[in-house]
Amino acid sequence: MVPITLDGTKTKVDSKATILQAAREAGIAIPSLCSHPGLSGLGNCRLCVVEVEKNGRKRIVTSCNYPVEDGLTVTTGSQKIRAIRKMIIELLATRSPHVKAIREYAAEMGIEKPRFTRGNDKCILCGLCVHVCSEYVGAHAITFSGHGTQKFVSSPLYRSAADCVGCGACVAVCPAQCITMEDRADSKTFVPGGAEEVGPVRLIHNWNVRLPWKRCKTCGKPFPPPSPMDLLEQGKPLPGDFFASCDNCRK
Amino acid sequence: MKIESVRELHKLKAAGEKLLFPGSIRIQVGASRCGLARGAQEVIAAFEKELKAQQLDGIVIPVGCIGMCYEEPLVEILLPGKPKLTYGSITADLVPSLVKSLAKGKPQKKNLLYRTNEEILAINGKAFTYASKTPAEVKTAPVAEDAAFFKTQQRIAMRNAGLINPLSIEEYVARGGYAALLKAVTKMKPEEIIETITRANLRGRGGGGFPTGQKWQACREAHGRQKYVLCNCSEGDPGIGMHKSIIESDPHGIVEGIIIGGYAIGAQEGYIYLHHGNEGAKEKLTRAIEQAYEYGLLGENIFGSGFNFSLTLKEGAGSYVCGESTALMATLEGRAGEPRPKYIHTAEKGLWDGPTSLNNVETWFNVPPIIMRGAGWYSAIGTKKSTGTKVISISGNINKPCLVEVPMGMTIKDIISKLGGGLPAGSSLKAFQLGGPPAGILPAKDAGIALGFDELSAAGSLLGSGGLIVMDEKTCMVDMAKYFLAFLEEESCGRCVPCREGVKRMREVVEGISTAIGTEEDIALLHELAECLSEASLCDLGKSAPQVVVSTLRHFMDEYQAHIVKQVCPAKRCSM
Repeated sequence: MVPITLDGTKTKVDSKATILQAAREAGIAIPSLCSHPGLSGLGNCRLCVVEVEKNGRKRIVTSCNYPVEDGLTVTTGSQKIRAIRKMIIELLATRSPHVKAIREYAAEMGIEKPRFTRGNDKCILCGLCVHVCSEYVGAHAITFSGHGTQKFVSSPLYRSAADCVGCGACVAVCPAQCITMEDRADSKTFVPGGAEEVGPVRLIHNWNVRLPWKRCKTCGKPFPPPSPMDLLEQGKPLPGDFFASCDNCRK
Repeated sequence: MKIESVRELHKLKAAGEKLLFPGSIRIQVGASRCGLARGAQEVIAAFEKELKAQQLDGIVIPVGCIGMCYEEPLVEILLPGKPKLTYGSITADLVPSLVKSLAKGKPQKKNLLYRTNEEILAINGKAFTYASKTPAEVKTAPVAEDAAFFKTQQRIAMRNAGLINPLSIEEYVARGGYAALLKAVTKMKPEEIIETITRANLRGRGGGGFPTGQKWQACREAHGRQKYVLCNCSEGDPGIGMHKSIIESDPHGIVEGIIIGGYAIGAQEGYIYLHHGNEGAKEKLTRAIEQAYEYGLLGENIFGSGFNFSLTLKEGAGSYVCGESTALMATLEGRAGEPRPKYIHTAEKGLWDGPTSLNNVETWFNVPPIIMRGAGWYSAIGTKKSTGTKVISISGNINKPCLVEVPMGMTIKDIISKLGGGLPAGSSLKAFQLGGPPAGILPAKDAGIALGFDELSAAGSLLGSGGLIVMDEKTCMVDMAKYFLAFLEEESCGRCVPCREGVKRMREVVEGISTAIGTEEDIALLHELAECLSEASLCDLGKSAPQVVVSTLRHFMDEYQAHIVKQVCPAKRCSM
């Protein structure tokens, strides 16, 4: 435990925590789009910025990946910070005016209409889908393509994401709700040579993924790829054979 | 052959002197990027042909760039027992008459810029003599030290630039090379080296101006199994190629500096990150590293001291943001060139999570002379807070675009007038920018500012990489801001929102002003955006991107107002 000053209150927090974790523990709300409690901080959206003071030096940092330090003074909601957050939301509202999370933040911050020429992107490029896929699921199925304003998330070479396990963690973490996934019960696969395979499949449209359900290694029945989200929320690591058996057999 | 002692280094030096003074005619042609663009290749061919035709005994050597880009193709002629003669603007058709005058033993006066009888080597302060006597026919030519181009310069990083064959380690050693490495690894302790660098007050030449000694100290004290030293030669600023030019002219200078740095920090591995598309620098550096391995200056047990060091040249794909330290490391690791937060310093966790010291090309070049001549010598050059010299590339609306090295503390006005030859007749200085796209543009009235890290930061600009862009009154500041914003928008990695979205919107707003659809509110909006970008961006690219807008708004507000209110462009640049 290390002592820090959070918005004028002296507290002791876990020495391994980030400022965001410590603040949320203390009941201070800090807005953020690209952070998830079970994952390491990315610092992409910059919405969670706070002001820190150490040895008399003031800095603005992202709270999601700044580790707490002994004697740190943190201000989470100064006027300066609020102005930065407002501008970030205005910029995102310009890029993606129809994303629900952005609209909610914009309404909360009093942005009626962004002052720039509006775009119509569904994705806000927070990077959480790529992050959860590589850091927690370990599949590394999707990645960023392009750079700068042309950046977008895609499967490698825009083909079907070959390493995707179909778990849907990307769908679950997406704050913009722009990744779509569905299960189809009796989907037909036409195998070259004339044969047909009929069975349930999982589709994730954004990554061109079409995965026939696997059979459970214990009961032998086809089952949808299980979601790791419960374990992620609990902060537990993913077992190595997690995707091999269905939910019933795992318990 | 491995060099392990002073005597063996002297042998190499003697071999180098033999190459520099072959006893016949030695013709050096500036064949760096600027020289090649002006036809150095044809000049070399013409010299070879002409020497053969006139049956003269001589060799033609392509060398690097002295810095006088406006006089390229530059030719230096060494006749046995005579001072070195430097000729400017020698095109292929001027070669026959020049060689004819050499055959007669009476070098022509036409195009002769200056002669060099003797020079003081920056590396060790010793005299390097070409000839003590001066023949009557070239007496009228000024000596190099008095020539206008050299008078105000002090060349430390560019000590060998354009004077030696960059492919020859012998010639580098003949001019005092690798003696500093010998001194460092055999006579000095790593702590002593760091202390010398700290006392010399060498500050990072890459832009930040962070004290190099302090950086090395932090890296030496950090715990890590493997430590790394890196050289940043990712030079992406538009119109500037100074680091590549110095590397191309004197590749061993940087290799020596890095090895000394590695020894001081306790690193055994070094990497040079080179921007893609610099074939000249790549070729010369590759050869220099090969030679250093061949002579045992890299590899195991350097100079018999038990110190091992390996150096690798890595070529990046050439994104501007890869000049940022963490993005550069990401590229070296094989990941996409994107910066990461630096809340844990790279001196503790850098490349592959090992303690890493990243320094700029020019910083590395400054290391060997400091080791040879001591901290006192170096800290006496320049100003108290910014010691030493700085390489400046002068371009823009100027008579003599060139590459120079001047002591810190010299005013911008002097650099423009004395070295750049002033602005073309009929135009006057309106503004200047130093330090590349992320630095602010300063007005002509600030030209009296002295060259220095703190002086320029205080004025709202940056010393940065040292690319000086001179602008005359035909330059529109709104247009300039638009240009630099478009450049940064293109080069943003796109990771964080303020930089990716903010620079784009800023460019759109400025573009609106330049096409007469701007409004009064736009000025406030630009200020608001600038505040957000400079505070909340992830790396320095986004943090400094608004500088160009902020500085032009501060100094040239009337121009913005003219665009917005009267809808005219005073410089007649913007199409309205």
